[in-house]
Amino acid sequence: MLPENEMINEHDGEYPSLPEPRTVRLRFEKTGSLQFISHLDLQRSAARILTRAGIPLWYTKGFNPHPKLVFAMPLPIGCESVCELADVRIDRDMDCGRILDGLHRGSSGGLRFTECYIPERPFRDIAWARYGIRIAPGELMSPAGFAEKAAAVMSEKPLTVIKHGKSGDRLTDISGMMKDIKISCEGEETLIDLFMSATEGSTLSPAHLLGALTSRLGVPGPDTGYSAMRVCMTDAEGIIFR
Amino acid sequence: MMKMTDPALLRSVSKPGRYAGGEFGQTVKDPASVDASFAFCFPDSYEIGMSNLGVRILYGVLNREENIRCERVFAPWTDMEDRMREKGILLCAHESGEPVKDFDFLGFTLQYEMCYTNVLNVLELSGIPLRASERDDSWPIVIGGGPCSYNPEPVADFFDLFNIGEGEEMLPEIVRLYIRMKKEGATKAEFLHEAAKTIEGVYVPSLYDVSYNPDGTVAAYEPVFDDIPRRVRKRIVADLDTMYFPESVVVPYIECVQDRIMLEVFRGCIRGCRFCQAGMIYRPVREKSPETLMKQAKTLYQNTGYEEISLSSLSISDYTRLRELTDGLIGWTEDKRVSLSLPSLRIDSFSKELMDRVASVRSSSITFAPEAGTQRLRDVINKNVTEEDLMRSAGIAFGSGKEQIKLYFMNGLPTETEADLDGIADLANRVVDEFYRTPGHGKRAPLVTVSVSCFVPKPFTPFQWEAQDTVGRLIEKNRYLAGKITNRKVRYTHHDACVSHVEAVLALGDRRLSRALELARRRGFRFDAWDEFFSYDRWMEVFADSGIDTAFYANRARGEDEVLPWEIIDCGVTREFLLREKHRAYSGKTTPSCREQCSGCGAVCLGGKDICCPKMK
Repeated sequence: MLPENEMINEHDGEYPSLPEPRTVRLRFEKTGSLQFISHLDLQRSAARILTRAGIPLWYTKGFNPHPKLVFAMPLPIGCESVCELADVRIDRDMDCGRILDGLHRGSSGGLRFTECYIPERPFRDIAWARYGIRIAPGELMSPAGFAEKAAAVMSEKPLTVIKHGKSGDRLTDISGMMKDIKISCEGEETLIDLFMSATEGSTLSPAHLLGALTSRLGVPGPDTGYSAMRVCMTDAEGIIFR
Repeated sequence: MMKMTDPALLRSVSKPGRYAGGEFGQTVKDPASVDASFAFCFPDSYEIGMSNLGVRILYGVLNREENIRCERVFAPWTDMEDRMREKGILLCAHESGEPVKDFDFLGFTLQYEMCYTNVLNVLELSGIPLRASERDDSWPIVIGGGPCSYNPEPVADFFDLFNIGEGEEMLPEIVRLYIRMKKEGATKAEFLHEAAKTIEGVYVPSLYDVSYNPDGTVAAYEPVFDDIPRRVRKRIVADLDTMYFPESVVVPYIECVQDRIMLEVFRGCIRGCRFCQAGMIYRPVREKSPETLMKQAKTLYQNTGYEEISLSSLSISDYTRLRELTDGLIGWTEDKRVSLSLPSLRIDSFSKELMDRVASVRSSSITFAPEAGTQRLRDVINKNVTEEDLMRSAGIAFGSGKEQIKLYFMNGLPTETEADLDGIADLANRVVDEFYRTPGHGKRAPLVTVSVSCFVPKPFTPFQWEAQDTVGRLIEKNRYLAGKITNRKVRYTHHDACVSHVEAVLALGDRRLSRALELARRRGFRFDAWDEFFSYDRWMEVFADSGIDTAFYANRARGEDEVLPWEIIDCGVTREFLLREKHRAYSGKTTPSCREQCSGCGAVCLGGKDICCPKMK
């Protein structure tokens, strides 16, 4: 319990005001059960996480002030990630190490903040995202058999899938939206390692690829175990984006 | 076996975040490190359950005991339930994913009668036999609490034990007793007997025999042991300032109905509206000090990051130190961009100053509850507000730029006539006129929404003896009112009379209703509080097939000397007071608030610190 009259944010007095708001970039992991929290819900929760962390948020001016928080790229529901990025503006001079300490205290479980730094590049430079997808075909076929069939499907040109968008469903050719595909087997699982397009307006999600495989091979089916992990993001030249 | 948290399963259902867990603030304990485990169930969806303040408090109360592990349980949504049944998956607790059936306790908070089918469904999905008599010592002890437990009888056969009243002290006492007796090798029956004997507020239905008169009314309750109370007195927490209140709560990731800090300002209500169960069963009024509330608000803000604080109570403007509290809160909330909301404002204490201070009233609409259309009927129900109060409040709202006002009413109230229904339409029209009379009103046309619910007589109210209007009559009244509302600036909505009828049966019922609930469950009933799942025709079939005459429970005026099924419970407020209030209602006499004059309700016998009851001072 706080002593009476104590300032609500214990750090307020510690950090001098900044003449201009500063943008810091947060890198975080969203794994385990948190993969089932939607991007919209994460956005909604983010301000609470930052408040719990005691971060001196800068608020927009105007009738409805709100913190400025921008995510690099939405993570689809059911997909894990170890490379999420978000930019947040602060109005006091709190150093990145202390921001990270605060975030460790204010987050839980599968949400883990791993880095905080001053960004050097804008999110629009992101061109590709690398994913690791593990599928256990189960009794329907062997991992090697599935690997072979999946490779054939993924080399189809065109490879059309239905993409759901705000303006309705549309058929999209995703064959040019994947690169550096490596397919292997490990125990009962088939592993697909690939880069998917992450440019604005032309973003591919693992769900699209999995949908294409399901519609053609029946795997993954409703009860098939699989996982998808976003591993890193790169620019158009293949340099890791941070 | 597949678990509810299996990714393949979660990918196949809507809103998987409901089942994912991992929220900030949850308590995860090692099962090996505790002596007892408690599965705390809110028998509705996650989004509803996580909005309940009682769940937040009691989850914290139990988990702060080092040797008790409390986990949350919610009713799985229908798509998840279908998958669970298809795959044979048992219902699991939220934190550990452990099957509910493996816990020592399964506690339900009973917030509304229409959740009863969900209670049974949760038992069934957990693989637990429905009836207490079918459960041997290997099953969890099933506990009920919450407002509906003030008439536990319709669900009594499904529960081992009810805790009547406030659980902050009682619930840990029950679990501590269990731990001690389990170590001593006691049986479940021995534990239940001991709990009923030694812990005030504990009601063990199986320890009371009920007999009925030939006309179907209750003849008597007879305890099966001499050493347990003849009536179970509700338990209260005496001092709210020193009472446990969570300093941190679970912060859900997915959007919930009440997604904010709920700061409980006081318990009870000084008003005594004669239809209102909460106003009677939560007596005596006990307040928290602004100092305590300020500390709790700050700590909760720091620990949750919520951007809104709602001051929770039955009637916030009756808090004696509201100005002090809002001043203190606004002192730091504005700086932190935390908004305040006061959800229960009365029209006789609504002021421009208050409106300017809180965010909830900065939206374009505001809600008032005159409850009845004429002063005569408002006096009958002891609402103690006047048309002048309403017009003054509406004027303040319109003058501050609001264009929409929502008005809550009830139809089917005792002594209601056509004139009272006409009064609802007239009052709405006059509120529209008030808009145009108010200087500086908004530029757009006003909209007055008239929302009418059907009166449901509730136990432990002065109207507990009343007959509810039949469904036909309620529908007729709804139609009549729809015809009376012709003003295009007035919108009319009403509750479903059929739901209100079933609610009345379940609220006023006795133990014989258990067979109907059991049959309803067998026929797949669930989520009956949700319009999309409620079927009146199917409910009527269930009642008919289980030999239940719904009119006996809902549409029959009870004799003043009749033993009422819920009178096995003593809620502090006496039968004499309730009867006196009923008679005053019929004479159109109002009763002043507790603060003005003591009306001798009897709740003073429960004790309590800083209560407003003049007899205590």
